[in-house]
Amino acid sequence: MQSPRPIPSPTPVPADGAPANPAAIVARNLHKSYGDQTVLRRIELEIPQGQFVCFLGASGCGKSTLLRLLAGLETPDDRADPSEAGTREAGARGAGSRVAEAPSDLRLESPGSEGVGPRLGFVFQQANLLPWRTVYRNIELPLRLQGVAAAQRLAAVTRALAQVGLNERDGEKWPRMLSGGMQMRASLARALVTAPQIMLLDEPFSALDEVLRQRLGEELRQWHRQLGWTTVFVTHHVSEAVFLADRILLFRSLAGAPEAESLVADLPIQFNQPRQAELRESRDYVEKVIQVTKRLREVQA
Amino acid sequence: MTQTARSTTRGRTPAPASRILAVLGPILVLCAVLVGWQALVWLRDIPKFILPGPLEILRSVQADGARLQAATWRTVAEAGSGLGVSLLVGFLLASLLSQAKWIRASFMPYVLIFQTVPIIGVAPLLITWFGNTFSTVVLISAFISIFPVISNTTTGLISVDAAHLDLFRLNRATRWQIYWYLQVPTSLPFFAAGARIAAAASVLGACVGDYFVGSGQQEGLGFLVFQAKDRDAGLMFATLLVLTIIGFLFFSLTTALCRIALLRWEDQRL
Repeated sequence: MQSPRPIPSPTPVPADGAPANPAAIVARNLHKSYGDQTVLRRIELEIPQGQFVCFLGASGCGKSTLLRLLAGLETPDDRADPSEAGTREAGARGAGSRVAEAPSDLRLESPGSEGVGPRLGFVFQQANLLPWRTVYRNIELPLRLQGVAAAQRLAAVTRALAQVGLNERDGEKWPRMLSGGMQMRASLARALVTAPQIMLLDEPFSALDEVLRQRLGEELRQWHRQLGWTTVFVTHHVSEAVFLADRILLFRSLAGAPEAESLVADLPIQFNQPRQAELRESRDYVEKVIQVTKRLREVQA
Repeated sequence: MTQTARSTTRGRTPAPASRILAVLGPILVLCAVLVGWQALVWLRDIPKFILPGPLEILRSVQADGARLQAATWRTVAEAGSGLGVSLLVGFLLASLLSQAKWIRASFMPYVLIFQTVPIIGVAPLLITWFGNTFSTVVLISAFISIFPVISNTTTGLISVDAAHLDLFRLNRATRWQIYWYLQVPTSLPFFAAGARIAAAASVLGACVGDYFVGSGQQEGLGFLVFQAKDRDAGLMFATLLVLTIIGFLFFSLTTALCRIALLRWEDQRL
C-alpha cells in the first residue's frame, strides 16, 4: 500500500480552448494493431490544456482504442502495420520504397505534473460499478487504492456526490438499486473524486435515454469548465459531439484501406452562446450538426 | 429508481400460496413414503434385519438414544472441522493458483489427480500416519471436501471483469489491492457454490473417517453404522437417517449463510 497523500484541489479554470494554452496531450505517429488487424495508423494529435475534444466516428474505427492508449490501458505499437517489420531499416538503407518513419511518442502533461504525469479520470461506456461495494465505497475506491487517508476520502467523496447531484442516502445504496442514469452519475463521481486534470470518457452516455443523455452532457460541459479539465470524449453521436466539443476529430475505419490514416479531419466547433440546453434549438447548432454529419458521411464513403 | 429496487425484491419473494406448497409438499411426500414403507413391511412380512419399518427404526432410536446422540455430536464436530479446514485451505490454495497461469498449468493436473485418489484407500494410510484420532477424521473429511472449493474459487478468482480490472489499472493498484478488492469479492459467489458441495461432502468424509477410526467412547456415526449392520438393523437405519439429516443441514446452513452474505449486493439466487 502506498503512503497516504493529500487529495489535490481542482486546477484553476483556463479559458475555453484558448490557443495559447500549452499542450496537455501530444501524440506523434501512434499506431495500434491487434494481430493482423490495424486499428489505428499514424495518429498525430495535440490537445491544448482546457480543451474539450470529441473523437467521432463509426463503431470499430479505433477511437476508443486511442482513448485507452491515452489512459495507458494499452501500449502503442512501434510500427504502422504488423506486416511492415523491418521496414524502417530497409527504408533507411534506401533498399525499400518506404521512407523511414518518425518514432512514436505519446505525452500527457498538466501544470505541476512534471515527473509524475497528470491526474487522469476515466469514465467507461457502462457505469462499471463494483456490485459488492455501496455507491459511496465505489466512489471512494480510487482514493483508497492511492492510499489517501480516511478523513480526506470522506470529504472528497461527499464533494463528488454533491457535484454529480447524488445525496448521502444514494451513497449508502447498492449499485443495483440505482437507475441507469444514477449509476452513470456515480461512475462520473468516481472519476472526478481524484480531482483529475485530464478527463477521458468512452461513450459514457450511450446506454442512456436521449433526454438524460442531453442533461448529463450539459452538466459535463459545466464540470469541464468549472474544474478546468482537458476533456476527451468518445462518441458516435454527431449531435452530442457538436454540443460538447471545442473541437471534433473525425476517425475513419481502416478496414480495406491499407495506407489510410485513422484521423481524417480536425473540425473546430465554436458558438456565440453558452453550451446550455437552448443551444440545441439554435440555427447555428443545427447547421453545425448537418455539416459534421455530411463530413462524416464523406469519410465513411 | 426506488421502483426498480422494489420490483426486484417483489420478483424474488414467492407468493403466499406457493410458499405454503413449498413447505407442505415435501412433508406430504415424506408422510406418504413412511406410510407406504410401513405398509410394505407389514403386508409382505419382511424380516427386520432386511428392511426394518419406520416404527422399528423409531424403537431403536428410543433404545439407543444416548449412544446415537454422542456419535452424532462427534460426527458433527468432525464434519464441521473438516469443512472449516477445507474452506480455509481450499481458499488459500486457490489464491495461490490464481496468481499466475504457469502456477495453474504446473499444479492443476495434480489437484485433479488428488481428487481422483480413492479416499477409502487413503484413509487407512492417514490413520497409520496420524493415529486413531479426531484430527485424522477431520483430515479425511477435509480431504474429500476440498476439491470443489479449490476448483470453484480458482475459477472465481480468475474470472474478474475486464472493465473492473481496467479501473484498478487506471488507479495503479498493486497486485495485493487487485487481489483483495477485486479478485476476492468476484470469487465469492463461486466460492459459495463450492462451499455448498463441500458441506455435503464433509459429512461423507467424516462418516468414512469414523468407519476406519472410531471405536468405543470415540465412535462416530460411520462406526455406528458399521457396528449396527449385523446386530440392529433399526439402529443402522436410524444412523443413516441422522447422517442424511446432518448432510442436509450442513448443505442448507452453508447455502443460507452464503445467501445472507451475498444477496446484499448480488441479484442472483444460489
